[in-house]
Amino acid sequence: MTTHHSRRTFLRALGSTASAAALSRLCTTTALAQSASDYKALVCVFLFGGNDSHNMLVPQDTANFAAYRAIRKGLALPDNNTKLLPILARSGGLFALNDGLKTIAPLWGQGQLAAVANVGMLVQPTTREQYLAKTIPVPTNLFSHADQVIEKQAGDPNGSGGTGWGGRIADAVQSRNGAATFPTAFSMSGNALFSTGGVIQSATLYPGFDLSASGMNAWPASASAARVQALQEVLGFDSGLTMVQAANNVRKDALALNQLLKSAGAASPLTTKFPGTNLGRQMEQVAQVLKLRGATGMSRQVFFCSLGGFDTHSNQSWQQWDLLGQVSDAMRALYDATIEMGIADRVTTFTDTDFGRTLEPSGSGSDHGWGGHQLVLGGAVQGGEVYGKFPTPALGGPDDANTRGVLIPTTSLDQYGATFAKWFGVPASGMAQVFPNIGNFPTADIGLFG
Amino acid sequence: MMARLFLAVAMCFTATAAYADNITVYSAGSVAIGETRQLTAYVPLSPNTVTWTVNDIPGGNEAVGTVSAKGLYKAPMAVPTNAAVSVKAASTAYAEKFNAVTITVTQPPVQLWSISPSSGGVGTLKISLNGSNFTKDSVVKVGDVALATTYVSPTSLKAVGTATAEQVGKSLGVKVVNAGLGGTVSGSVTYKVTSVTTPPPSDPTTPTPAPTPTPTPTPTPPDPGTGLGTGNLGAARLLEQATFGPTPDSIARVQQLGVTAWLDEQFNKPETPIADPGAMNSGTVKAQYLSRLSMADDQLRQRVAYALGQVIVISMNKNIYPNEIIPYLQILSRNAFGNYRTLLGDISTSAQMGKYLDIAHNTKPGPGGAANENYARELIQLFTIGLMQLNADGSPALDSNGKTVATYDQAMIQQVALVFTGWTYVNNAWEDFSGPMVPRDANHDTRAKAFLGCSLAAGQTTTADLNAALDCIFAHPNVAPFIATRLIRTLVTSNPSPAYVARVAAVFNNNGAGVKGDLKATVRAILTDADARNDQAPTNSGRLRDPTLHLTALVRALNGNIKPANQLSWQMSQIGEEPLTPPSVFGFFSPGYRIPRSTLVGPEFQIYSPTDAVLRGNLFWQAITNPSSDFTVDLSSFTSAGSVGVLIDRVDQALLYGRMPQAMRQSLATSLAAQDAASRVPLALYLTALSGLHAVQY
Repeated sequence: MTTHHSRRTFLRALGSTASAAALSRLCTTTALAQSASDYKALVCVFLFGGNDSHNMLVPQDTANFAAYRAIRKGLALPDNNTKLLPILARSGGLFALNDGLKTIAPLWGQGQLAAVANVGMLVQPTTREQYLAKTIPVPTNLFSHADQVIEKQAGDPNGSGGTGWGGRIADAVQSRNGAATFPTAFSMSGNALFSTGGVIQSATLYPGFDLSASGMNAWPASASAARVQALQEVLGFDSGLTMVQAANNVRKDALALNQLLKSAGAASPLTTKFPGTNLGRQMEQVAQVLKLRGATGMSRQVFFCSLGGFDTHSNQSWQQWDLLGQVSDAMRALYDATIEMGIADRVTTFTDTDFGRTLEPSGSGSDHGWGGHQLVLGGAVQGGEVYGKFPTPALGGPDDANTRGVLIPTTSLDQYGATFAKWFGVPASGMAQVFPNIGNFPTADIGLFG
Repeated sequence: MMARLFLAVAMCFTATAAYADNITVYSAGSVAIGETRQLTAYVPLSPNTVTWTVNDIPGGNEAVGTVSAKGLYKAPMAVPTNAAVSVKAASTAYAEKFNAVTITVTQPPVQLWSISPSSGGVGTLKISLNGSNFTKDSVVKVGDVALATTYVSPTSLKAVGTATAEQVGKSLGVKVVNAGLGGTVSGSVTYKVTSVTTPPPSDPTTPTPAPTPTPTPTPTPPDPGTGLGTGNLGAARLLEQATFGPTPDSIARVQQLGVTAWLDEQFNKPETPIADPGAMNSGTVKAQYLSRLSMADDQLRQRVAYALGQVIVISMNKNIYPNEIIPYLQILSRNAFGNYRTLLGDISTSAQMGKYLDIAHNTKPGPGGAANENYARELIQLFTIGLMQLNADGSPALDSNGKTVATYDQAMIQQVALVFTGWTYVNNAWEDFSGPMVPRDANHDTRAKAFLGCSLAAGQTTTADLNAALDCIFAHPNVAPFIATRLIRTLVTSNPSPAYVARVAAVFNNNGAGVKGDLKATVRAILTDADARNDQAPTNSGRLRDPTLHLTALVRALNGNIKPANQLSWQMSQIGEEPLTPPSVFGFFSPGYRIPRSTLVGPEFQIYSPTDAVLRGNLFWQAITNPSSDFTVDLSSFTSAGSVGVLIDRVDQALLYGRMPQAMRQSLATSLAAQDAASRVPLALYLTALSGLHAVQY
C-alpha cells in the first residue's frame, strides 16, 4: 500500500456556522445529551514500510547494549546523525529513545508515553523451536509488505475477512453512539482496511478538504444560492426507492459535514499548532473531528493516519531520524490539542507498521523482519514503561526466527489491539469477534491502561 | 473470515442502548397495513435461538400483526387502535435476554408526485395534485396551512387556498396529509408565488399560461414542461445492466433489435483484444483498462468480465507489474461467455493467481507442517461455495435448530491446501509471468485427500489432483446460487428475490443442454429475467453504481468516453476504486455489506462515504466542464436545446430516461433561470448526476 498526496485539493475552511437543518441528519438531541460524559477515540499511526524499531527503542543496560552494538555495527546508535535520549522504565529497565522522538520523549517521564516491546502478527504463542520445526501455524507471507500491511490492518494472520480491527472495534461499540449518524471510523490517508468494519464504513477525510463541492459557486450570489437551493431540493425528494434515498442521504450528510468542518475551522480555532508535514496535517484533521464531538454527539471514534518511507534498506540512520521526528511532532501536537480540549485522557494514539526489521544490518539499512516495538501515547496510558517482553539481542538467539535477528513476536497484535479495545469499551464477550485468535493467548490485556 | 463479517453485520444500530452481550433487534420503522418487514435479531448467546412476539403475544395475531419464526413481521389489514406495536425477540434460554423494536402500522403511505400549476400570483391559489394513495381524508397543506381539498381519485386531488403578498418570490412547500389513524404525510413539492396577480384559471388542470414578462427582481422560472416520457426506459435499463452505461446510439440499437437479438449481437461481437504487457508501465495498464471499459464495442463482454473480476480478485497492490495482471484480465475476458469451470482452471494455474494467493512455490509440507492455505480458502470461500450452505434460491440452508451450516472447517482447508502443492513458474524461475504455472510433481503432496465428500486417491500427479479438486468443488450445490447471487448483484440489483436467484441458478446448473457453468446462458438468464426487465422499480430494487460504473455511465450518456491516456488513477483511488487495485482479495467492497441502518444489502455503499460522494461529484464536474486530457464528452445536444424546458427534457432523457420527477424538473428550472446562459447546460447535467436517481441503477 502506498500513499500519495500530490493532487489533493486544498480548500481553506471558510467562516460559517452549521445550520440546524444541515446538522439534523448527523445527530439528534438524544445523542447530544450523551456526548458530554462519555467520549473516547483511538488513533492509529501506521508507519508504512516496516519501521526499524531496534533503533527507535534501544536497550541501555550494559550487556544488551554491548550485544546490540556488536550486532548492528555501523547501524548502531548513537552515530553522527542520531543521538539517544536515555529513559527509565518504571519497572527498572534502562532504555533510550531515538532523538528523532525528542518532542514526545518528555511525555515518557510524565507518564503519558509508553512502549510495547516486540509486537507482531502471530496465530498463537510461538517459540524459535516451534517456528523452525514448522510444527505450529504462523501468519502467511511473513516479510511481504503487501501481505503484512493487510494482515496488520485486518488483525488476521491470513489477511482474511475484508474488515480491519479498528473498524471491528467500532462495530462492537457502535451502540454507544446512539442514534448519531456522524461517521464513526475515519481514515485520514485514503481508503484504509484498518478502519473498515462489517457495519461501520471507513469514512475518508483528506486533510484540508472540507467537502466543498465543485460547481456551486457562481456570480452573482443569487446564482450560487439558486444552485445550493436546487441541490438541496434534488436530494430532498422522496423517490419512494430505498437505494435512491440511501444514496441521497450520503450526499446530504456530506452537505452537513461540509458545514461542520467549516465551522470547526472557523469558530474558536485550536491554539495548538500542528506541523505542516503530511502526518501533521492528518493529525490536525483528527483534532478537528475531535473538536466536533459535542456537536455530533458521538461517543466513540476510530482514526487511521499514516506515514510512508520506513522501508529503509539503506541510508537508514538519517532517514529514520527524520521520519520519527515527523511522527513525534505530529503525535505531540495531537496530544497538546487534546489537553487544550480537556480530553487528553480520552484519546489514545498508537503506532503500528508492516513488520519489524532484521537486527543484523544490510549495508547502511536493514531487511524485512517480524516483531517490533510500538509507541502508545495518551492521558489514560500508564506511561513511562516498556510493556511486554523485551527481546534478547542475539543472532540465532532465543527470540530469533533465523540467524539475522528476525524477532519472533512475544506480544501478538491481537493482544496489543485487544488492550485498546477493552479500554474503548468492547466487552470481553465481544473480543473474539474483533480478534478471532485472541483466545490463543494467555491474556487479552497487556496492562497499558493499568 | 466472512463468518465473522456476517456476525458483525448482524450487530445493529438501535436507538436504545443495547450492548453486545444482549439481544439486539433491528430495525424499527413504519409498515403499511398488509405489508411486511424483515426484522433481525442479533443474538450473541449460545444457544442463539429466540422466540418472537408482537405486543407480547407469541407470533402476534390479526389485530396487531403477525411475526414469523424468522422475524418476518406482517402488518394487520387494519391499523390497530394503538398504531405502535412492539415486536420482541426473547432468548429461549435466558429469561432476562430480550429486546424489542417499535413498528408503527400505517395506512398505505401517501405520495405526492406533482402539482399543476407549479407557480402563480398573489390571490386565489388553485392546484391539482397527482400522486398515490390519496383518500377522502387527504388534506393538502402549504406549510402548516390546510387548503380546501377535494378528493377526485386515489391519484388525484384538487385544492384551493390563498397566496399572500408576503409569499411573493418564495417557493412554498406543498404536501398531502392523510389524516386519521395510521395516517401518513407525503414529501413536499414546491409552488412558487410570483408577483403577477393572475386570475385563477377556471379549470386548474389547464396549465397556467406563461406569465407576461414583467420587470421584477425575481425572474419567473420557465415552465419546465412535463417531459418526453419514458419511451427509452426499457432499452436504457437493459444497457445499465449489460454495459458501462447507455449511449444515444446503443439505446437506438436495442430498440431496433429487441432484447434477445441485441444480446445475441453482443455475444457474437469480436472480443476486444487486451494488449500484452510489452514495455507498458503499470499506470498505462490502469489508464487503458478504464478507457477500454468506457468505449469497447463488446460492452457486454466487458461488463461480465468486470463482474467476474469482482468475484475472482487479483490486486495490483501485490501484483504490481503489468505482466502480473494483464494475463488475468485476458483470462476473464476470454471466459466471460465461456464456462465457469474452465475459468476456474485457467485462474488456478495462472502465474498471476499463483503469485497473488501463493499457489506458486507452495511445496508439500514436512512432518507436522501444513501447506499454504491462501488459495484453498479463498477458492472455496470467495470464488465458488461461500461460507454457508445455501438453498437453491441463495438463502441460507438452516439446520434443525434454525442455524446456518458452515460449508467447511479448518481441517478441510488443510486438505484442499495439499492439492495445490507442487506448482511453480515456467522456465524454472523464481518468478516468471510469461505463461501459466507448471507442475513439479516432486514438490507435490501425493497423500490421499478428502474434502466435501470427495476422495482423491494417493499418488496422483499435481495436475490430476488440481483438476479433480476443481471438479469436486464445482459440483457443490452452492456454486450455482452463490455465483448467481454475486453476478445479479453486480449487474442488476443488490437485493434479488429468492425466486430470481433460483431461476438464474437453475440455468447455471443446466443451460438446457445438460451443461453446468455456462456463463453465456447464465448472463442471458440474468438479463432477460422478468425481475430485471421490470421497468416499474419496486421499492427495494436497484444497486448503487460503483465509482467506475457511475463515471462511465455519465460520460457515455454525454456520448463520450474516457481517453486511453487518462490520468484518472489517483482520483479513482480517492473515491475508493483505484483501477485494478482493490485493497484485498475481498475486493473493493464486501458483497454482504448492508446499508447503514437498513436490512438491505448494498455492497457499493461500503465505499460511498460523504467524502467519496463529494469527490465523485467533483470528478463529474471536471468531466462536464473541463474534460481536458481525461475525457471526451459531446455536449452539443444539450447546448442546442434553446430553452430551459427543452434542456431539462434532454438531460432527463440522457441521465434518467424520462423518469425525472416533476418536482425535480421545477427545481432545476428555478435554479437554471438564475444562471447565465453558458452555465445552464453543465449545471443541469451536474445537479442531475448528483441525485440519487442517477447514483442508483434501478
